[in-house]
Amino acid sequence: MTPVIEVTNAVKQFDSVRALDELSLSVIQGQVVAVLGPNGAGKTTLLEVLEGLERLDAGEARVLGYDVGRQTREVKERIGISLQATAFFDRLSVQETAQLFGSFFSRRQDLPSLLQTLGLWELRERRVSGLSGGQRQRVALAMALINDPQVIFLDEPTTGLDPAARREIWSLVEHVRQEGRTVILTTHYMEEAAYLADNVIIMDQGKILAEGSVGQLLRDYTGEQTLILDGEGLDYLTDPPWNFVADNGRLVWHVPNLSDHLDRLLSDIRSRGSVIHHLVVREATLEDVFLRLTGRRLVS
Amino acid sequence: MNAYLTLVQMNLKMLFRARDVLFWNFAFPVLFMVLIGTAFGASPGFSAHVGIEGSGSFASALIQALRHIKGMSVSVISSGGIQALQAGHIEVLARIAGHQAHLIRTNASASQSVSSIVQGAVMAMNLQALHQPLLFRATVRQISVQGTSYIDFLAPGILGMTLMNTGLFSGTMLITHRSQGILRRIRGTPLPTGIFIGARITTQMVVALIQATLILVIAREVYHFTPVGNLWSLIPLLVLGELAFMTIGFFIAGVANTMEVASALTNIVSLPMMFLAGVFYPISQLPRFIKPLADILPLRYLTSGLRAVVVHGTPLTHLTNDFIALALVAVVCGALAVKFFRWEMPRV
Ligand SMILES: Nc1ncnc2c1ncn2[C@@H]1O[C@H](COP(=O)(O)OP(=O)(O)OP(=O)(O)O)[C@@H](O)[C@H]1O
Ligand SMILES: [Mg+2]
Repeated sequence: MTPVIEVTNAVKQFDSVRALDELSLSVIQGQVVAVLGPNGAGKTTLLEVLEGLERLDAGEARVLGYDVGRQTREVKERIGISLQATAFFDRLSVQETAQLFGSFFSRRQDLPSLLQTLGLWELRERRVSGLSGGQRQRVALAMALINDPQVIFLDEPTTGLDPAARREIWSLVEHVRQEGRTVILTTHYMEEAAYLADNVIIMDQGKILAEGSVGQLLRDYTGEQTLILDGEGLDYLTDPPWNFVADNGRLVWHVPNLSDHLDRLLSDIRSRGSVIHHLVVREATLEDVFLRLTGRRLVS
Repeated sequence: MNAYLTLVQMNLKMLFRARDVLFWNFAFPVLFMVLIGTAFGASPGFSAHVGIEGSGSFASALIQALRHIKGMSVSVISSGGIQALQAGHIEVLARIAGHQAHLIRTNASASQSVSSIVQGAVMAMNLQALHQPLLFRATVRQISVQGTSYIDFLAPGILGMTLMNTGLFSGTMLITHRSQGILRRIRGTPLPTGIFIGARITTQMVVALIQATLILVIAREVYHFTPVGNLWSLIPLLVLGELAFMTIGFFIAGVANTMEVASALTNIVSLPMMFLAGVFYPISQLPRFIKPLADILPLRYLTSGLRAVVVHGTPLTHLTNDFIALALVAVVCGALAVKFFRWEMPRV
């Protein structure tokens, strides 16, 4: 399949900051890709380069086959965007805002059904100034979809929302994916990335540190699960073939596929007459991956 | 085309939904004109004061007669009449002894008219005393002559000032939308910049037309202002004038990062023009050393053009100087506005 987005050795320099540092990336159609990274990682810069809002200093960015730097108009016609700091005209209603943005494109979606899908139909007469944060994000999403785009870019679509509003946005993003659109979103929330994304891109300091499905990232960098044991006569587990790690009197095991090994482990322990007092299995998270990659935590 | 019309439509909707914008654009100029017009003698009518020294039947009859004249007030003075005359408290002093009135007037023209009125009153009293039928009669009708009353001067001046202010402030709207990130969001769509700006300009032109209509209609209703010239020929002047000041406003929006800075710059530009560009009084009344300054103010050319068309009916072909001056401003500031235009705030 030809990639919908293809970035090759992209460099973007702001004064002393290298926001994108020889970054390369490829996204195939129909995926939801989450770009995860701490403040200043370059997530917004990456998206805005792809949206035609920022120009690269070196390298190339292609969206839907068009060179974003040269064929900006073609790209803008076919993509949908929602910026990190999203604002619309305060004194227009939801419907008027949609009419206005719709008029900017040569192709547009049926307005009533779009507003209905996003749960904005009842709010269509309301002024933008009177909307809640979650409602505003839904308006932003509607504006991103108004031209029936093939790719949409959502920069932190759920930042500042309460859990219920966040879940609503998630299900809308899910819906957008089911319509066959490619979605690139940025987030600070690893559970958001884990929930929504087919593919996660972990970024820091203008570079991509790791990329893949959540399962793959966990497998490659931490093991999928972490088993923690507490008991008597278990010390032998630190030796091969088990290779547990001793941690504060407990024994910790990072293992790619726990269920495959659990039976064998338990019968081995039983056959030696050892006793388990306490057993905990914890899922590894993207936070563990980030920790492993950078030695820092994702959210400070 | 669709984008352009939709933008103009939405711009107008936003404008008419903003109470402060409505006030400054429409209510303020009208209130201002009525206030200045009333304070500085657009109120018509005559007023004079006569002092009477002496008493008796002639004195009281004369006082009666004078009090019937509209605008005339009469005081009985026992002494110090001459000083009152010299100080301008009264226009004429009448010293009455028996059936003889001695009128004392000054060299002021008002004093001369008032003494004639008093003599006329004495004449009428004589006729009445003789019980003679009147052979000749005269009635009076008043007509207005353009360019002689203050409102003729003021109305086009206020119109010019209003176009200047709304033009200058149209740029600040851009600053608000820019700082909210709305402009950047719009730049993320395929909308061409020219259409966005063109729609903004068109919106302001609609506002300018409404303002002109409002000001001229109120001037007519309140002060019987009757324009002489062809009002359609005002339109090219309105359009060019508004455009000239909008380009200055856009230029300011380009160089200023915040509303505060923009307001300060706008005031620096607009205040001298308000007082030196012939809005409230003719430039010819300015002190000589200020006149060269007045000649470089764009508003001066707009007010003089508007005044020529509205008050004297001057054809546009005789206003090439005013047109050239305004066009020059529009071209130069338009180029600067384009050069400094920004879709977003610089990060700091
Ligand atoms: N217009 C600009 N001028 C100067 N520096 C910039 C500009 N835009 C971004 N930067 C810098 O580039 C780096 C990357 O910024 P970017 O906004 O892409 O980060 P981000 O990952 O989106 O961060 P956040 O999670 O805070 O939104 C930061 O150091 C930022 O300060
Ligand atoms: Mg960002």
